Amino acid sequence: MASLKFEDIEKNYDDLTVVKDLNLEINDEEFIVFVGPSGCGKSTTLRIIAGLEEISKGNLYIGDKSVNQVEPKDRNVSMVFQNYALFPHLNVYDNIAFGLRARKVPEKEIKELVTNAAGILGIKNLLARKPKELSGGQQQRVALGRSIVRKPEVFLMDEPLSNLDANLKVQMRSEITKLHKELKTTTIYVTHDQIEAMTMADRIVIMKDGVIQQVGTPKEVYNYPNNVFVGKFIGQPAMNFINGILKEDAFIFGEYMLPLPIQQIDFLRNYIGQELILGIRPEDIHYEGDYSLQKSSLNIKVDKVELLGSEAYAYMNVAGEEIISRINPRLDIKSQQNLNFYFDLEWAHFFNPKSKNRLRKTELKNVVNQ
Amino acid sequence: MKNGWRNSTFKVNFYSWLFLLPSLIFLTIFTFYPILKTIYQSFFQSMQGEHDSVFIGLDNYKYLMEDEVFWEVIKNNIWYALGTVPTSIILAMMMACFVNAKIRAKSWIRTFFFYPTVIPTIAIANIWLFIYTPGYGLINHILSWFGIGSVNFLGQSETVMAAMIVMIVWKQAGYFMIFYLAGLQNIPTNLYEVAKIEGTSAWNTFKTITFPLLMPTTLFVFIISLTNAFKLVDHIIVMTQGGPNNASNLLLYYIYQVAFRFWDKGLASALTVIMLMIMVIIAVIQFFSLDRKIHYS
Amino acid sequence: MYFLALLWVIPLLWLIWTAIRPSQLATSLSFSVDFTLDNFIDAWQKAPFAQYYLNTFYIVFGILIVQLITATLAAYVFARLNFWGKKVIFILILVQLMIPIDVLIFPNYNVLRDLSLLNTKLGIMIPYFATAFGIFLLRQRFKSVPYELEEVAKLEGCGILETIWKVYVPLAKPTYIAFGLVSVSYHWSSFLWPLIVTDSAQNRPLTVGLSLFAQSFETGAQWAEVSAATFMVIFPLLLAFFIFQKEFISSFMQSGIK
Repeated sequence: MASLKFEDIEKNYDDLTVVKDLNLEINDEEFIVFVGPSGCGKSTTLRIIAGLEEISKGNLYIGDKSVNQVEPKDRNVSMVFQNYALFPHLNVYDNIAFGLRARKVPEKEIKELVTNAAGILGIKNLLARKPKELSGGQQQRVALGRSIVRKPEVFLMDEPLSNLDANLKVQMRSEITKLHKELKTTTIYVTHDQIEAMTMADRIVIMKDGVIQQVGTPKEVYNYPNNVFVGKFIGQPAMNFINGILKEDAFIFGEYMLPLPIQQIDFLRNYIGQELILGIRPEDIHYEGDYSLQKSSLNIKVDKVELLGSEAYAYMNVAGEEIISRINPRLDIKSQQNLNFYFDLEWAHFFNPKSKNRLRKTELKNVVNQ
Repeated sequence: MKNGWRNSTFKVNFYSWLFLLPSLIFLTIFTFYPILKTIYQSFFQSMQGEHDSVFIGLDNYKYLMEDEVFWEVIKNNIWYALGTVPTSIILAMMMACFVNAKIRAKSWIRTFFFYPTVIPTIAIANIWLFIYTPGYGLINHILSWFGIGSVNFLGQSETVMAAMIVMIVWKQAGYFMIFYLAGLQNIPTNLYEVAKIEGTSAWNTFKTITFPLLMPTTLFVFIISLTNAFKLVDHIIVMTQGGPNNASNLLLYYIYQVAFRFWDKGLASALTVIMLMIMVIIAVIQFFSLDRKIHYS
Repeated sequence: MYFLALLWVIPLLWLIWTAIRPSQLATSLSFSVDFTLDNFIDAWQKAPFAQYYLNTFYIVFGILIVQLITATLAAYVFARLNFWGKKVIFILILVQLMIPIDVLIFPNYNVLRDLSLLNTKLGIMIPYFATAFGIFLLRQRFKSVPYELEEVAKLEGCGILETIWKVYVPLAKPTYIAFGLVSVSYHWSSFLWPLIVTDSAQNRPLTVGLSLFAQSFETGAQWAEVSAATFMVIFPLLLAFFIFQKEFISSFMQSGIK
């Protein structure tokens, strides 16, 4: 059983706390992605699982065993590093066989296991080569080979694709996902790239400044971000955030008044008269052209239009903030025009401007007191 | 755009040779010419002060082949190299691994190991001459605490070479330690992390990771210490003068004796030629070590 | 290993201890609070150490200055220019790396004699004016200077010497320091060559002077005074080392990456 449990984990370096109040349960066979900006504590957490960093406070369980004091080599985990960490003086075969040899596995068995792993990763023809003769993608595969050959209970991956170019990244992403489906091993993957997180994870763990911001499936995290940070971090281009005031039947920001649908007014009744932040994704702001058909439609001046080929974005300025709308790339929209945009609020959310948390249906406290 | 002097090939050649001239002049006068002249002179019989040199072909070399002292000198130099080279390398590696680890007073320890390097060999010779002195030298002093009689380290042919070796290793090891420190720092730390996760023991980690990846440094240090074993004889001049009975005589010192004591130009030239051949052999070893097997990037 | 480090310092401590003890007590290890600077004063008076110091400074820095000039010019040529015979000359320079000048003491002595430079400071210095080692170090460094900088200099009207001086030399400062430390250490310690070249105190460097001083005692060595003299000779180097430790160590490290 390769489940994991983090209980109140904390990691300190002298005065600096890098990981705080970490509580998380990971199920067997899950593909978990830790994502967040540099310095958020994700790599440290991974290294804690590996045993390369000591736990300052709290307990870590792999399976049902507490592993706080267990040596890395006895935890039955393997790790893939960002820069591959291949032994430059050993060839591919010996690199992959390294761990098996350390555990005194008989050579015949080693040969079988290594050839098997190499086959899965498509590097059988490279076994005699040295790392310096391989491309980045090939080296990464060798690193993966080394990590799977021992059949550990948990795969740990520390930004393995960061050093690869864009096309290779896309290819390796699907290969790693395929590998995971085939081998069904619990995988914990760290990255700063939210696209990798969204496309590969069963569940995503978003971290900031050492604290977990949200844990959930890609869909959950995308559609129901817990706070402004998560809303901004997940999704590209980022969610729009607009500061304004909630009135009887509309949300006012700058010179604009956005009428609100009835159900939301019920839910937000307690917040009338208070300042709130509206979070709405670019794909939920629709361009309507010269004629507005909807009630939640505003006339805004477009500052610039960015055409990416299959997508296009209109940049606008409302109440001093820049917002983006995703538009049909085939339309011919000139900038510096005033056009109508319809705000589809079905997937929009309101956030508390002080705590930056998302307002939920069950929240009744007065915003000002938070 | 004025490219002036660069465009004209004549000018490029002119300036190139002009700038090279100072270096070339000195190199020619003090390296190339002496090498050639000495090879030439080795075929002649001539004593300093005499104006006649007699061509004697390979007689100087034939003499050396039958010269007991010559063979003793060569044997000594080989033993001396065997004594100083591996010892210095191993000690240097150990020192570097020690200093590189998380220890207290790291930079003091490093200084303690390295400082002999900045002391002139002649000064080191004086220091150790006193340390080795029979009776009241430091070592004999300590031996007397254990009731062991005084040992004349430099006066006995059995011990003199060992005494020289110990002293030179003391001087060199710290110097080589620095190169190993640089080498250790070039090994990516996550290789050690992989080893931790995959489960290799400390000794195994050293054997399979550290030592092989230090090979380029080891080779480099090997060449330097081997060259030193032949070209550094300052200590012999001051401490033993080659004795007792040629027990500590080394090739370069023998050249010194033949050239500046016996004033035998022809023979000294022949000896120098032999020394040159040894240097060439060492250089060839170094050249072939640039083999890809040892360098990994 | 800590013990090994202590072992390593003992010879130096022994030297200092002997030097500051009155000379009668030099041969015993007794612990008394009897310290003196007499040994230093005696040694200084018995041999012209001041002259030796002067000579050493003159020789060591004289060599260094000339080396810097010859090596810089040659390094630039190898780094940036393509000229007739480049490969051949390069190999010839490699020869000096292969054959250390130290083994050529005998033929070089003859050359000096032919040039009437025996027993002169210049004679001691001159074989070292060309330095293959320096050429290699600087060439490596010069090659890594972006060529655009030279082009800018040329556009500003600099001739070739001015370009070298204004662009390459400042950017190679760490290399110059590294080379300087290695060269100074080496020539300060050099003994055999000055020994055979010099005859008189006028031209002797410290190393030769020290050995003569040590040998000048007929009735067994006067260890206290010799120790004091030895310490005086090595003191500047040790001091420079302690102050510039990092530079020393990284210089020697860099010199290895040839």
